[in-house]
Amino acid sequence: MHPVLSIENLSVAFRGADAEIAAIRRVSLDVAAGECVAVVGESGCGKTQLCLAVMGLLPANAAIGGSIRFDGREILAAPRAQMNALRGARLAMIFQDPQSALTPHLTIGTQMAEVLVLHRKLRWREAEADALAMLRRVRVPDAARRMRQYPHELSGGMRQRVMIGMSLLCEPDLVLADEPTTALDVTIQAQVIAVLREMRQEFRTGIVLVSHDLSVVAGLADRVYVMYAGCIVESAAAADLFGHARHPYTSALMSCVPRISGPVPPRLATLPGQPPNPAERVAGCAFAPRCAFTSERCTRAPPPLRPLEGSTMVACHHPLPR
Amino acid sequence: MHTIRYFLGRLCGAVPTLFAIITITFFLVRVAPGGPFDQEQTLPPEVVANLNAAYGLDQPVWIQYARYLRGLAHFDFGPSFRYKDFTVTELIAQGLPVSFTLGALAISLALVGGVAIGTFAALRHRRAADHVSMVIAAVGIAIPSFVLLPALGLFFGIYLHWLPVAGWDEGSVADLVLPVIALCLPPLAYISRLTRGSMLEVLGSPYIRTAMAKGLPLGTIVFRHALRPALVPVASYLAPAVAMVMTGSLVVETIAGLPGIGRYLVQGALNRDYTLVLGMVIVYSSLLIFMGLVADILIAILDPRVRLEA
Repeated sequence: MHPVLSIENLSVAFRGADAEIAAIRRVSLDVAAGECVAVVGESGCGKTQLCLAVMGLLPANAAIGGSIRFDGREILAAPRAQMNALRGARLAMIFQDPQSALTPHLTIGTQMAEVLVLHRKLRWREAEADALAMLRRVRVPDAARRMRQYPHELSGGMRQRVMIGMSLLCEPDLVLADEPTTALDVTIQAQVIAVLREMRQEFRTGIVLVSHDLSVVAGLADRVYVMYAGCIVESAAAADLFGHARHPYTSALMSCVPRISGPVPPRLATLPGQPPNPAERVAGCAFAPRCAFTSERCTRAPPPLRPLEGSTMVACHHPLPR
Repeated sequence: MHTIRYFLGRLCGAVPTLFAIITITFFLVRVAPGGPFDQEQTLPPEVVANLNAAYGLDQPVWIQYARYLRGLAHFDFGPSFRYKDFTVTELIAQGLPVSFTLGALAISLALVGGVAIGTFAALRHRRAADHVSMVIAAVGIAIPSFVLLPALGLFFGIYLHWLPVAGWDEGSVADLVLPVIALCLPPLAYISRLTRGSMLEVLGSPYIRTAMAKGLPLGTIVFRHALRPALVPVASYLAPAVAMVMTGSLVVETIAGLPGIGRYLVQGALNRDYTLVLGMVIVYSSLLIFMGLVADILIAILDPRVRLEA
């Protein structure tokens, strides 16, 4: 069975006024049907650009290379009509901030029903009935009233559930969830994750979960890709990754998560330094300046992504031992 | 229901504003040197005294003011001091339909044309069509109507014989074409720039990206998701646009020989025709206050997050 989404050697760069800014450097990633793949990394590492590239929503000044195949068909640089037939129907995206990602002057009902009117050719009446059923499924309380309300009349958690419900209306094969819980407080986060998990089981939807929140990822993902400065530095099954991180960056990222149990550290662990400027070319490993294990080789040659045992891949000259 | 109550509340709130405008204007026109019966040939003092007595100008100013207000309460704007045998009410009632038709057509055309051009330019952002329409808009703002209207008349009237250069027959559409074009161009140009700016901002917003991610075609995205928020600045500009058209109509009506009310404001002021000036000020300021109110309600309709509170 071929994967639902197959990204090969994807590169995205933005042509600026005087410099070319590389947002994504030769990233490859597969998502099988019904699989949840997480992409984690710091802000600005290229996670959101990756989603937008798949959706075909990158701005006009983006230079894109490589290949993105959806259900076996190449969709990179596909004509707009072909993308519009996929978007919202078989390929959907949940955006980071549901406050600004919903149209302020249209009711929730209109914004949801229009997807079904467009892709399923339903009448408005029928589409609204289906939209209402979906709102109930994603556990929006008082759903009938919410249909007639505007986004600003809903709470943040409800808006995000509306976003999730909207993306699932046509039972897509793949949902790209870009930081779906970042704008929410912790109790709402848990509810939203529960909704995503249920929907995945119900519709066998493949999910690309983009997050910098490792606790969200741990609760949902089958496989995790760790991105740093536009590159994938480690990929592994979720259980392997959270048990034994092999890349020093992954390990550092995990040690930054505060823990409730165990001794209280004198201060929260942080990762010193900053990611490299994406406008500059780095000769060796992009993480070398911040890494505790840097050798002379790291600053000279960029480490290729290579397989270790099992499904783990790592781009490091000195991977951590198991 | 809520909107109606707000509307009525604001109308009542406009009464003190209008009252203040009337009062200030009443005393201001009387402060200006000269009077309504000053002419090149000096009239005999007895005649002036008789005229002043006939129009009540021999009374103290505050009595004149009280009389004027009493007349206004009965919608009587008083007699014109210069147009003998005419009341101000009659003069305005004769000219207003012409001016109103001209102004309403110009504003409508400016709105429709401006929004269409602005939207088109925004969709062609930084391409040739965008630059061309914005240059035309800049020209439209810059060229005064007293240059544009004669130029249009010269071209379409005298060279091409398509349209009359000037003049007015009751109910003749052709007579209105060139004046409407000359009158609507400045607000049209301004509205197209406003729309382009706000449309560009809206098209770059996250909810338009969501709409694109749903696979919606461009037309649906523009008309259903982008146009309404993009029109908010245009609605705010409505009252200034009406003011612009009103002052413009003064020039355009004179050049095109249209019997509107535009000329009365300047003539009335120059002739010290106190009642006529006051009547015109009342008509113009009522219209402006009303358009401001319409604009506020429009904004509340365009953006459901805006709450109308009196």
